[in-house]
Amino acid sequence: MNTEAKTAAANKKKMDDLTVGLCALTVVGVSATAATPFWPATWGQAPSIGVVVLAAGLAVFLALHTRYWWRSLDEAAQEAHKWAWWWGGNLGFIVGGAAVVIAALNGVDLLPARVPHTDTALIALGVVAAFAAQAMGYGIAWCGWWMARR
Amino acid sequence: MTSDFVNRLKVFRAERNWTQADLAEQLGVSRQTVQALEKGRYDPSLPLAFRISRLFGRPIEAIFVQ
Repeated sequence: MNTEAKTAAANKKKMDDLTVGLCALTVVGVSATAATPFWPATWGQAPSIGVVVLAAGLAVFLALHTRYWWRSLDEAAQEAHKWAWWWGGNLGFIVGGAAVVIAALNGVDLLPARVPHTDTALIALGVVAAFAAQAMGYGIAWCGWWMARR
Repeated sequence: MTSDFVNRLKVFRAERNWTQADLAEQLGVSRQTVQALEKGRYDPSLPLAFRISRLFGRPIEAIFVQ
């Protein structure tokens, strides 16, 4: 096995270990039902310790998993993602943002009727629309990068 | 979407009766990357070019020709 293949295998093993760790953490998260101590009263009702531990663990899991996943990719795959991130993400954001603004200016109600039209809901709509537009642009650009190199 | 270089990867691979998957495994890249390289639609980094050079036992300029 050459160096590159060994590195890829090592990264895959680390990702597998992380997944096992996340499963163990989920068990802790579900079983630890006591309220989180020292929770500020102004933040509302304290969640269970398990939920806090699980949330923190999930954040660490995602960060490490992304790191090892990135290192397991070869250079062309990394290049495809970087290109798609820049061009697809930015163009998707611009096009999607423009579509949302034009729709809003023309009186189109983008929120479902059953959702209260509060400021919070409108901000959330903007965040979701921006993310969806970038993700769609990213996906299209990523496919385009590989299609052009087939 | 073509490179400024032509390369002889496919020739050297065929001489050894390797499939694209065989070459990809030895280089530590995906088969899609080998395909893009062979078609001249992706230029390798310098480290990958050196790995290719070592694998075929030829200088880089014998594999990638401007």
